[in-house]
Amino acid sequence: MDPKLFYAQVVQSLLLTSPLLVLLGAAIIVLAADVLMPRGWRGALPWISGLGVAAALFVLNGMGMPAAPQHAFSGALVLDRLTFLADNVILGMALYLIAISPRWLRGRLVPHGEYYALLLFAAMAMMALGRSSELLALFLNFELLSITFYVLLGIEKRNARSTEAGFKYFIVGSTAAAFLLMGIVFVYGATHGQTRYEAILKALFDAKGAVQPDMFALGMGLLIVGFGFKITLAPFHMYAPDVYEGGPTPVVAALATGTKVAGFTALYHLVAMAAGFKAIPAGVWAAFYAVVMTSMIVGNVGAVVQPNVKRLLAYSSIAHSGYMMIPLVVVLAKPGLLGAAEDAIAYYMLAYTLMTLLAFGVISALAPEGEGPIASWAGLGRRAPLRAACMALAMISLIGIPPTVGFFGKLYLFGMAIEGGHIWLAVVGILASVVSVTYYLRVVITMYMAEPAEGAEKPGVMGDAQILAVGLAAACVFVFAIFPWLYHG
Amino acid sequence: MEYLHPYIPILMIVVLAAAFAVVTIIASALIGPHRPGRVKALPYESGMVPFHEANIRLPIKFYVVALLFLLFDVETVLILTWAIAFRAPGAPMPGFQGYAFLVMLFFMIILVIGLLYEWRKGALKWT
Amino acid sequence: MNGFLIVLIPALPLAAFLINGLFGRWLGRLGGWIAVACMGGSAAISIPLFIRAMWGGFTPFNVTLWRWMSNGAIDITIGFRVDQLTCLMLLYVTCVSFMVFLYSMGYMAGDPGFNRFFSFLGLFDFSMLVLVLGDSLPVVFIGWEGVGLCSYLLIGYYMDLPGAPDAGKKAFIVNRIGDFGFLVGMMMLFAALGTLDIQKIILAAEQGAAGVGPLAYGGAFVTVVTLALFLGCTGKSAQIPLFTWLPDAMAGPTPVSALIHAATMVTAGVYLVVRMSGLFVLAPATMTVIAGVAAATAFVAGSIALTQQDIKKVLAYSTVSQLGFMFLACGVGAFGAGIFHVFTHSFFKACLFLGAGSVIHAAHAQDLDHLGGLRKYMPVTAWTFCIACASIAGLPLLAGFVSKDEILWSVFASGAPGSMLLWIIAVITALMTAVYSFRAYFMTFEGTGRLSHDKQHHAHESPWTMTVPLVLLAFGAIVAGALNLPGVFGEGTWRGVNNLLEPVLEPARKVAEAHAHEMHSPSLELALMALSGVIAIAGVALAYRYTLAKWPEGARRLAKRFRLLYKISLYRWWWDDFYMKYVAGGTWGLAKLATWFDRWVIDGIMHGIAGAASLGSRFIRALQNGQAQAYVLIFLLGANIVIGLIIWFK
Repeated sequence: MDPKLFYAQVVQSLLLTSPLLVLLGAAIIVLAADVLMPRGWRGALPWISGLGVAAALFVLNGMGMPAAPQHAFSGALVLDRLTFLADNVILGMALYLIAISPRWLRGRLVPHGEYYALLLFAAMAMMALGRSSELLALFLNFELLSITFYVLLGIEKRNARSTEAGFKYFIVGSTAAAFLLMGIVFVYGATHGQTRYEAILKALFDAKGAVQPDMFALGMGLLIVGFGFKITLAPFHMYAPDVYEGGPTPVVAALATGTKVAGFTALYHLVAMAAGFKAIPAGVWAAFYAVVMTSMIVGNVGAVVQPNVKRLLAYSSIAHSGYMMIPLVVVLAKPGLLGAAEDAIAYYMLAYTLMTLLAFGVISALAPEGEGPIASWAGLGRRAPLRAACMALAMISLIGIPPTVGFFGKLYLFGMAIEGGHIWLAVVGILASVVSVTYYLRVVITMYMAEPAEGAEKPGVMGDAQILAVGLAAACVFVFAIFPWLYHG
Repeated sequence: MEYLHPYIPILMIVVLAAAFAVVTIIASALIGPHRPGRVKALPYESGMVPFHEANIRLPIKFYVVALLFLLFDVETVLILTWAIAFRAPGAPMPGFQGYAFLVMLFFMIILVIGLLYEWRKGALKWT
Repeated sequence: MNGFLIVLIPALPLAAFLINGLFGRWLGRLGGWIAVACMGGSAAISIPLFIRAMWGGFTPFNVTLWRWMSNGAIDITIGFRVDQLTCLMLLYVTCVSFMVFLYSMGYMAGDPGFNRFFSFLGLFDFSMLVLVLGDSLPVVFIGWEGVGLCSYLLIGYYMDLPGAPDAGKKAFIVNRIGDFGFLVGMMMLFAALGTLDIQKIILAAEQGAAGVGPLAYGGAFVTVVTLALFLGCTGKSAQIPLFTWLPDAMAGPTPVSALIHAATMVTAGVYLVVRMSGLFVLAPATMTVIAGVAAATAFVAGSIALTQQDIKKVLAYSTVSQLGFMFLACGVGAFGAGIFHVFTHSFFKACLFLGAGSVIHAAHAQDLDHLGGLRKYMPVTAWTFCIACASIAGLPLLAGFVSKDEILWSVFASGAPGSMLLWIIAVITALMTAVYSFRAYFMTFEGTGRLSHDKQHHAHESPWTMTVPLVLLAFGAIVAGALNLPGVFGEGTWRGVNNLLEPVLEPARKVAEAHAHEMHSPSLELALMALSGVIAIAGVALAYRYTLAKWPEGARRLAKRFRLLYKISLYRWWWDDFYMKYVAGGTWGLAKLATWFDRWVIDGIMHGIAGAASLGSRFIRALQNGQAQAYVLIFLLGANIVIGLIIWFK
C-alpha cells in the first residue's frame, strides 16, 4: 500500500470524525475536572460540557454539508447529508439538555461529573451510530450507546424507579443486542463475508447473484428486531413506558429524541443498502410493514388511558417511531424514492426532536410535581403560564396542527406513503393521529380547564438557562415550520 | 447449505461437549449409591453446624475490584497481541511502526486517565 | 429596483410591530415615532416604484423568498409579484398608512394602550402589504387572514367599551364565512390545476378562454370557483349579504376605521377580483352576480347612510356603498375603473374618517344632532372635510367625480345583462351619495352649534400631527383624478391608470372583446358626464335645503311624508334584525339539530372509537405488568413473528 495515501486517509478520517473527537475530549475534560476541581466549582461542569458541544457544532458546521457521502476509517463511518443533519440535531439536543439539567439536578443525589460526561458520551455514541456504514462499527456503536444509557438511566442511585429503569433497559437492551448481532452474522454470511455497506450493496446487485437471498432476508429481519428496541417499535417497545416514567427526565428526553435520531439514521443507511434487492419485497417488507402498523396502533391506543405525562410521552414516542418508519417501508420496494425518504426522515427527526424536547423541558422545569400524574398539572395555565403555553404548543405540534413542525413533518411522511402507493399506511396513520388528539388534548385541557387541587402551590421559578432553552425550542417549533430551508437547505 | 460445511467440526465439538456433560451427570446419578439423610443434606461449613443463611451479602468493593480487574485484563490481552504484531516481520509499509505506536499511545493515555480517575474517586481504597 | 427593497416594504411595518410589541413598554411615544418612520420608509420605496411603473421603463418581476415546502405534489414557494397593479396598490396603501400613522400620533396621544395600538397597526400593514404583494393564493391568503386578525384586534381595541368586543367578534365570524369561500375556491383551483401560483392560474385561464383545460369559458367549474372566491370578497369587502359587520366595526378607534375599514383592508376583495380578472371574466354568470350584488349593496347602504345619526356610521355605510360601486365596475368588466375608484376612494374616505376623528377628538361627540357650527373652531378640519365630501359627492373635476363617472359610463356602455337597470340604480345611488355626505358636512360644521356648553368650550383645532395628514389627503382627493382622465376627451387624453394596468388586465380584456359588445359614443358619454355633475350638485342642494335652510322642520316634514322610506332607511332595512331573528335564529335551530346529531350519531361513533381505543389501551396496560421478564418474552414473541413472516413469505 502506498504510505502517503494511507496516512492521508488516516488524517482525512480523523478530520471527518472531529466533532466526535471534540465531544470525547470534552467528556474526558469533564471527568478530569470533576475529580480535580474543588467541590465548590461543580457549577462549572455544565459550562464545560456546553462549550464542548458548541465546539463540536462549530467544527461540524465548519465542514459544511457534504455534497457526496464521505467515508472515514476504511468505510466504517460515513458522513453524508442525512448524518450531517442528524449530527446537528443531536448536538442541538445535547446543548438543550445541558441547559435544562442544572436546575433539574438541584437537590438530587446524582454524581454531576459522571452525569455530564455520560451525556456527552451518549451524544458522541449517537453520532457514531448514525454514521455507521459497516456492520461491526454498527454493532459497536449500538452497544456504546446502550451502555451509556444503562448507566445514565440509573444514575439517580437512591431512586428505586431510576435504578429499575436502568435495569429494565439493560435486560431488554442486551436481548436486542443479541438479535442485532445475529442479524449481522446472517448478512455477513449471506454476502460471503462482507461487512461494509458499499461492498454489501455491490454484492447484492452483482449480476452473478452469489448472495444467499433467504439468509440475507433473515439477517435484515433480525436487524429490524434489534433496531426495534433502540427506536421503540412495537412489539419491542415494552420497556419504554416503565423506563420513561422512572428514568431521570433529561436522560429520558435524550433517550426519546437523540437515540431515535441516531437509530433512524443508521436504519436508513441499512435500508438504503438493501432497497430494491430482489429478496426484499416479500418477507422483509412484510415484517417492516407489520412493525410499522403495530407501532402506530399500539402507541396511540396505549397512550389513551395513561395517567402520567412521561408514560404518555413514551407511548407517543412509539407512535411517532411508527410514523417515521413509513418512508423506510416505502423505499424498501421503491428505491427510486430514496431521496424523498431521506428528506422526509431528516425533517421529521428534527420536528419530532423539537416538540418532544419542548415537552420534556417543561416537565423537567415542573419537577418533581410535574413528573407525577397528569392530574397534578391542573390549573397550570394560571399557575405557570409560560410553561403551560409551551406544553400546549408541544402537544399541538405532536398532534400535527399547522403551522407547527409537527404538521409539516407528518405531511411529508404521509405524503411519502401515498406517493409510494401504500394508502393503508397513510389511512392507519391518519386514523391513529385522530386517536392521538384525545390524549394530547387531555393534557392541554387539564392545564387550562381543570381546577387545581386544594393547596396546590405555584411551581418553583425557572432558571434563566431553562427559560432560554425552552423558549428557543418553542420558537423553533414555528420557525422550522415556516422556514424549513434553514434546516435542510 | 454447503457454505455451512466448514462449521461441521465445530458443531461436532459442541455436541460432544454437551453430550459429555449430560452423560456424566446421568451416569453418576444412575451408577452411584443413593442414601440421603438429614445431616447429609446440610450445607458443608468446615464441619461446624450451620447457624445462618447460606447467602450472605458481600461488600460491594469486591465487585468494583472484579470489574476493574476485568477491564485491565482485557486491555492487557489487546496490548499483548499488539506487542507481538509490532515486532513481527513484514510491516505493510515504511513507518508503520511509528503509526502503530501512536495509536497505542492514544489508547494508553485514555487508559491512564481512567486509572487516575478511579484513583481520585477512591475506587482503589479498600476501607 | 431589487428584491431587497421590495422585501423591505412589508418588513418595515413588521419591524414596527415587533419593536412596539416587544419593547413598547420602555419606548413610550418614541415607539410611535419609530412606527411612523418605518411606514414612511415603506412609502419612500413605493413612491419611486410607482413612478417607474407609470413613466419609466418597468417590467414586472417576481421576488422569490424561499421554497416553503416541496414534496412531490405539493410545491409552494413564498414569493412576491411586482407588477403594475401591485405598484398602484403599494403606492396608496403605504401613503395612506403613513398618514394614518402620523395622525394616530396625535389622536392616540395619552392612550394607555398607545404602543399596543401601534404594534397592531404595524402588523396590519405588514399583512396588507403581503396580501398585495403575494404571488400565489396561499401567500395572499396569509395576508388576507392577517388583516382580518388585525381588524378583529383593533375593533375590539377599547376592550371596556360596551359593544366593542362584540363588534370585533361579529367582524371575525362574518369574515370566517367569507374566508370559507376563499378556501373552497383555492382548493378547487389547486385540485384542477395543481398550482396556486397566480400567474399560472391566469395562464390556465387564458387557455380556458380558448376552450382548453379545466377552466373553459362559461363552464360550471369556473363559475363555482369564481363564486366561491367572490363569497370571500363579500366578507372582506362588506357586500351583501355579509356587509353588516362593517358599521359595527366603527367601535374601533377612528384612525383604524380610516385605515382598515375605509381605505385599505375592505378593498382587498376588489383587489382580488381585479388580480384574478382573467379568471372571473370566464364566468359570465358570476360577473352578473357580482354586478347585481354590487348595485344592490351600493343602493341599500347609500339609502341607510341618509338617515344615520352617528357621523362614523354615515361614513361606514358610505364606504359599503362605494365598495358596491367598485364591484359594480368589476361586474361589468371595467376592472380598471374599479381599481381606480379604490385608489381615489382611499384618499377622500380616509380624509373623511380622519376629519370625523378630529371632530370626535375635539368635541367628544359623534352624534350629528349634537354637533354643528364647528367650522369656526376647527377650520382646517372643516375645509378638508368639505373637500373630501365634494369629492365623494362627485362634484365635477374632483377625484371622486372622475372615477365615479368612469364607472357609471362603463356600466352604461357595457352591454352586460341588465346594464340599464344597473345604471339607473347607480345614478340614484350617486345622488344619495351627494346628499348624505353633505348632510354630514352641514350638520357637523355649519349652522348653529348644538354642542353642550362645556363641550363647546373645549372644541379646538387638532394638533399638527392630525391636520397635516388631513391636508395631504384632501389634496389627494382633489388631484388624484388627474391620474386617469376620462377617455372621452379624445384619443390623446392621458389615461394613466388605464394604460398602467393594461398589461395586467389584458387577459380579461381579450375575453371581454370576444364576448361583449361595448358601446362607443363620445357625445353620449359627455352628456352623461354632464348629467352626473348635475346630479351631484342637485344632491348638495337637497342636503342644504333640509339640513341648513329648513332645519329642523323641513327635515321632519320630509320624514313624515315619506314615512315608510324613512323607516326603511333608519332601521337599515331591518337587515341586522333579519339576521338576528332568522339567520341567527335559524342557526340556533340548526345548532340544536346539530347537537342532536352530534350527541346521538357523532358521539355514538366517537364513543365507539374512544371506547375501543380505551379498551385496547386497557389491554395494552394489562400487558405492561412491570416485569422485565414479561417484556423480554413479548420481545421474543415479536422477533418470532418477524422471523415467521420472513419464512412464510419466502
